[in-house]
Amino acid sequence: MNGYWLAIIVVGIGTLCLRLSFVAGGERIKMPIWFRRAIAFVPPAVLASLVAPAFFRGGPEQTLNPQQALTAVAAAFVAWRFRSDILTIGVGLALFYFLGKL
Amino acid sequence: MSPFRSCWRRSFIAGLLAGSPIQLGVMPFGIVYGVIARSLGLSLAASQGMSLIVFAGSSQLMFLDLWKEQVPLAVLIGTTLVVNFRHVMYSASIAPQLGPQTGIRGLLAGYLLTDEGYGVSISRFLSCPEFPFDKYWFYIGAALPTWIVWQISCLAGALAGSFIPQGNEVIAMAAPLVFLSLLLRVVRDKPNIAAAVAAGTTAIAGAALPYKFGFILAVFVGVIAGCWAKASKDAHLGRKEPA
Repeated sequence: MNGYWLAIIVVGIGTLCLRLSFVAGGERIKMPIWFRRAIAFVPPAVLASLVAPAFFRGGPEQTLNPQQALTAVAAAFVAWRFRSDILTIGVGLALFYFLGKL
Repeated sequence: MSPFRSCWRRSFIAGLLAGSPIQLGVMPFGIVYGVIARSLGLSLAASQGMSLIVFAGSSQLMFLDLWKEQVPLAVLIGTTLVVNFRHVMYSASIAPQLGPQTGIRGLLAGYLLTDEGYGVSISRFLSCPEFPFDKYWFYIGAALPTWIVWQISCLAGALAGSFIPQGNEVIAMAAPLVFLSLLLRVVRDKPNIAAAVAAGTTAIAGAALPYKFGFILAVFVGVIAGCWAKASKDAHLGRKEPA
């Protein structure tokens, strides 16, 4: 628990500052083009960095867990094809649960 | 009743109506967030606290994931803030529409700024050259439903989550599935695919590194790969100016 509240308060204040950056009548800060373009790639990079190890474990054993990998592939297909978050999560959890029962 | 007073009410209500339909999509994220927070052992106060203090859906889910992985605090804070950077773009875009705001008005407008509130407002402002309402109050009305629905669904998720045993394996899959769903929405063109593939591969390769260095490295590699792919694509298409 130590650090949790500190972290969320810092993030909260930081995010508020980001949101207020222009609304509060601040000076227009010129952001270099390369920076703006780089920022655009942060979401896919972060998401992929969180997703990949969760579904495809690297590490010392280097073994692929079929339960996780199959869930990932199926969920990815559902997400790509149907573009519905609820469906993706629902199908993924259900499949993971049933694969675990096998 | 002065014309101004009736105007703000009508604008606010118009905003509420505009901002409400999108909430159906916000609810599942809030519930998933609440459930995951509880499964990590966080108290109701802690999980709801983040929703109130940070109020930024996707970054809250990422925060939880990084928190679970016990990433160093600086990385946790830094990553979450960088992920929220898009709010600067929103701010820059909506500020000229709202006009300069100070004090409580400004603070409120800033606090409520989300993907949804921004999206709904800016599309209305830009599509109506003679916008009939007070833009500030319309924006507040449009952004408010997201706040209400987020708080309620996070609470609902946290309450439901208290019935699920902590560390449940299936629930542990919920966060990666949400991220997968979000990821597939974004990777619809080659540069984004490049960023994702590069980041994902690096993350797997570097999973054993200490202090979650693998994660940080993966994000950097992903961003660089994305920029490079975009530059190649622009050059290939003969573009001189960045698109």
